[in-house]
Amino acid sequence: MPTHYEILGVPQTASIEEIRKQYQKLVLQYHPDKLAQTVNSPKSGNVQTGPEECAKRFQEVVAAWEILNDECKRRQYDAELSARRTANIGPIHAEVDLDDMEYDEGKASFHTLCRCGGSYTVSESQLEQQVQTVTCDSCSLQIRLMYQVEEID
Amino acid sequence: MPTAMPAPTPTAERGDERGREPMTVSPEPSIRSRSPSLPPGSHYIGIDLGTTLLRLCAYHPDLQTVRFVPNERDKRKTPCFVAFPDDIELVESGRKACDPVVGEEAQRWLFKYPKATVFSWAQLVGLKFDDERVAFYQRYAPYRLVKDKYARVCVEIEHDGRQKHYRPEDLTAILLTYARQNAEQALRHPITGSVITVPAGYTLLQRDATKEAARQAGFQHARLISNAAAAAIAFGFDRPAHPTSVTEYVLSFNLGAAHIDCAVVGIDEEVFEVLASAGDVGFGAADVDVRLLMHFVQDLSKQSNRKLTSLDLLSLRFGAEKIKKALSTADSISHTIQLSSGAYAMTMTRELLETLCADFFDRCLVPIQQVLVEAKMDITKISKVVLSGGGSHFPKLRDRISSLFPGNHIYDFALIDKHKAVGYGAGIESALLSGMRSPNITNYLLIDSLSFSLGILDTTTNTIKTLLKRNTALPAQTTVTLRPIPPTTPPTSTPPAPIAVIKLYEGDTTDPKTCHLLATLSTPIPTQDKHITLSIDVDVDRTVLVTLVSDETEKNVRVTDYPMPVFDVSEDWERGVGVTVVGAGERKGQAGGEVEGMEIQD
Repeated sequence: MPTHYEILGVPQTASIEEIRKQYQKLVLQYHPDKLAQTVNSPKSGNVQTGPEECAKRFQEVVAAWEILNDECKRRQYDAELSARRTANIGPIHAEVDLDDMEYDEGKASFHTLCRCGGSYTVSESQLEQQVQTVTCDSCSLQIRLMYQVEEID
Repeated sequence: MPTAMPAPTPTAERGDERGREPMTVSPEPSIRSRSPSLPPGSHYIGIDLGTTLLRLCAYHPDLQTVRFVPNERDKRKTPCFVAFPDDIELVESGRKACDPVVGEEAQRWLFKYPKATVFSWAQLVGLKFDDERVAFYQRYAPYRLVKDKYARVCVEIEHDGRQKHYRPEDLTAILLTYARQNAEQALRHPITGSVITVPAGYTLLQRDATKEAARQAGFQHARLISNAAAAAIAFGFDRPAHPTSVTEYVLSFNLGAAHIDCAVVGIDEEVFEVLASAGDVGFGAADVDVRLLMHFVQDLSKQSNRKLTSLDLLSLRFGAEKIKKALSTADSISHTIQLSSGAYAMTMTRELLETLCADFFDRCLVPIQQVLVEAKMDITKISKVVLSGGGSHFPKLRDRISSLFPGNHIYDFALIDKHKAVGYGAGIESALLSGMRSPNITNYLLIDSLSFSLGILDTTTNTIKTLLKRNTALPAQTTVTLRPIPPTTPPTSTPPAPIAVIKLYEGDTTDPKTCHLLATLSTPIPTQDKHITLSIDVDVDRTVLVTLVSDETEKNVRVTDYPMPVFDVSEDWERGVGVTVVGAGERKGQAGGEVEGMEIQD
């Protein structure tokens, strides 16, 4: 799975201005309105990619920009990336928002189903330690958790 | 007789599909088709479709810029009036019975045929008859509002000795047909596309009704943009030179007769991005008229010999509108309104008007706060506040908005007439969709966003689980995994339910009662891993496509909830089971801001 940096085609060290430039270049390339115009005028390129693929790319670009444009989210994402590299962990199957996982009050844990039929489970205490990835209890797939730790006074 | 045109067959007498001009209906696009962009060389026009006025703006090839298109009376604005007068004068001029007249021509029949002259119907588009706003409008409208077979509101017109029902969008279609014919006459080429401005707070149902009106009026493609976005576009072209590497954030506030629109727009060299928008539909500057009207009625009740007829109320209403406009610049005004019981002379001061409308100004500021929160935008990052719409120039409101933003942030248009900013923005967008290129118009891209969240009903909690948040950039897509809820009754008493029923809602709360049901869909309960995959695709024209995958079956449903919610449940749906959301698949385009109270608490 490409990283947000790879999706936007920028190095991880890129400044926010460089990322913004690249984001704009890509949305101009993939937005359906722009696509209609480029198809209408055969001189310009980008006729190869179909509308389906372009809409998908557009959404990936927007999602990547949403993270990298936010200083706090970007820092957290960078930390995840380096954690992923150093730990040499298995394949990340998906990114899952914690809000989309089911909460079990008795066990004080969140869980969601894996495509193999197993389940990904993460406890509240693990979350407090800012665990980023969870491995399925029956196969080797992992998911990355998307959440922000809120400071409670 | 330039204003006469064939009347659409009233809805009461026809099925839903029949009665449209055949040439205007484009071939049904494939279920997967995204932007129904028109072929090269198609011409679009920009339409500022207000509650009281309509303006047309289009690209002028000789001037290489956009210009307002005059109507057949050489006016650059057309009052939103449609009338069906049975008048001998018109019959003698060759007009067929039941041909509607439009604009100023229609306005002049108001007092002679009040029951056959319709105005201010835009606020009724897409409303259910039972909506409390309908009862409110009825109090001040001379025409009658009735219920159609879909429980939606219709206008009853008396003409030709009979009562006929028109849906609000049928009336909009008559107005848009007039607009298209005007533009084709002035520009001397066929027009197949339109950019129509609508309130930011319009639901998908209201947008679909407006698109239906555009289809009936002969537009093969209608792109709807919010008034606030259109005004922001106009600002982008009017603003002084700006360092191109810096994004400029503007707050665009539009106060129409029956809506408030507000948006935070990021403006870059070639991209306009609607970061957040919010609105108040059914509340606007016309509410000031109603306050004034009620004040006059109270004042008149002190004079014992006064009895008000329905026509008197109409005179007072239009008098109130005039007084309101005058008080935008004057401190006080003396005005006389002719009533059936004689002339009513009064003096109104701006101070008294402001007292009558104190809470009105408070309510105007609510969407401003909302969009700032949703766009996660610090007030200091907003470089300019763009005001548009007649009501926004009211001094008191200007002061209140100005006090929210430290420093002088309110933008005064330099090149464009501030009253025409919305039309101008629609005109520019139409020029770009037409593929017009000129040194005077930067080739930019408008990225619009979802107005309301989309979600499905999670039957374990009976709450709505948001799948696409409001303000997500369009086009947007999301995929989730669902699990059917096993039936609670033991399988011995009833055979297992064959299908899972999924309800798709539009709205910003988790309570299904306060959200709007878009579709009820069904899919077979999977046998193997007990999961259903649901994807929602929203394209740039806000066409919602739902894909349901269960076992080997895949089903695509295009949710165009017009004229009523899509009800796609195959068999035996009453015994169908609900679903719960168990996990997110690939999440894309979730650019929505996090709003307090909007996050789902599992």
